Amino acid sequence: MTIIISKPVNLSQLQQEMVTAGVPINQGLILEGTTLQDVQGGQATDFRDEAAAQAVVDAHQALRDKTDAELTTEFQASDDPARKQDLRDMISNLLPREQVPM
Amino acid sequence: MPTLNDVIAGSVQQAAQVQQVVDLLKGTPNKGVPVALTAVNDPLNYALSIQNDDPINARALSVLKADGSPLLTCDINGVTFGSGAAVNLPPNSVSTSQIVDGTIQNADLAAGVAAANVGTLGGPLRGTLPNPTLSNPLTIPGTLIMPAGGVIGYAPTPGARYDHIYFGANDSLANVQNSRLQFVRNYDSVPSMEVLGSGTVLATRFQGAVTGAAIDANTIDEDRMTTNGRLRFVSQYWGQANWSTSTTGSWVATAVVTALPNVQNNKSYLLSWMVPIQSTSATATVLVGLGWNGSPQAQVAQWTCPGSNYLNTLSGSVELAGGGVPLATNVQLYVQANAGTTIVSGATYSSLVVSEIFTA
Repeated sequence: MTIIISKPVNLSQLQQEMVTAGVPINQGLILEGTTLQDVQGGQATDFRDEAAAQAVVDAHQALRDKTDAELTTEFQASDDPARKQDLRDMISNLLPREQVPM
Repeated sequence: MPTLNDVIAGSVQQAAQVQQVVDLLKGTPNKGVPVALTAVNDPLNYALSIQNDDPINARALSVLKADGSPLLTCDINGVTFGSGAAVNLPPNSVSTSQIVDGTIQNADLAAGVAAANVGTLGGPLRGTLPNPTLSNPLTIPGTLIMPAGGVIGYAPTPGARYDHIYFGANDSLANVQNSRLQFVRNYDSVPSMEVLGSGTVLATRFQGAVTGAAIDANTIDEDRMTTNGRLRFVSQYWGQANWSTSTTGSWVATAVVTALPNVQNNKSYLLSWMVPIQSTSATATVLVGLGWNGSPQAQVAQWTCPGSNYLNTLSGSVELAGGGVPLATNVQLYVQANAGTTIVSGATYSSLVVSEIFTA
């Protein structure tokens, strides 16, 4: 059994959401095209609890890191030195980037 | 039988005696008597000369039988014996000078006379006609022509053939001039095929495939390939993968996979791969590996992402000795990352090409 994805997903975020929700997964997730599967032994495999996994997918709101362009635009518009420093650190990968919905 | 009457010397000739000669010469019926010119003794003249001055028929002599049919006729056409009756000639009286050249027919000869006259056969033939044999060994000078085709061979029993044709002698593998079987086209006198004593076969072309059984093992090298000849293509993956995984810390098989035939131990394969790798982690290290039959076997690339969502196309080539991939049915690209989501980007193509390169 597999799950078909019809919206943007952040796979690492989705995996963490499944772990938090108690969905049993093995090594991680694989998204091939629009097909989402569990990973076992390095190979794609079916979810052990597809219904629980599907519920997490349905609730999933994918986030992505802000891009360099977005951070740069905000940096140029900001007058707050502390914010500008954070933005500079995020651009330089010294801080985790803030995320926005996909 | 009356005869001519002698005339007595000193006697007066009687009319009856003269009339007897006249009747003889005219052929008066019942008045004929034998004439015998048997006492001529003249070394210069013929005993009897007959001439007909008629230039058309020149009928000089006609000798008749009692029934009036001709026994002998001498005229403009020459001498004719009888009219269909047998002619009795003295024994051994006709020789080649009496026979017109080229006139003796087969029907003029008795059965078997001609064959018996040939005597003992020579050349490639032995024995006598009509059942000659061939010389052994068969020696045929010049050209042997078999216009209807045929088979030269020996069949000792039906269904079991032991056919041999021997050519030449004293040849080694390096000395080929004495043994040569050559097929020459009558059309243009081009030798379309030759078999030399060295075992070399020269042919204008071979029709159809020359299969492995016809080629000596371990004899084909790359110098036998054409300049533009390529290595044997086996299989390839070529596509836009659109594949990603959140798995970290272990190998994961990607969608980049292609078939690999059951490998023979004496073959080697060249695997050429290209994959666009992306990671959502700003610091992830991504490993690329090759594997087969569901297991990663060798790490072939490593890339540390310089920032989140950077895309880098990794590529390389790996030669696999056949013995190293026994009974493999596919080859596949694997990835392993220590953080983030690892993506095989569908924005560009991934490829995995398998070519057989040589035998070990």
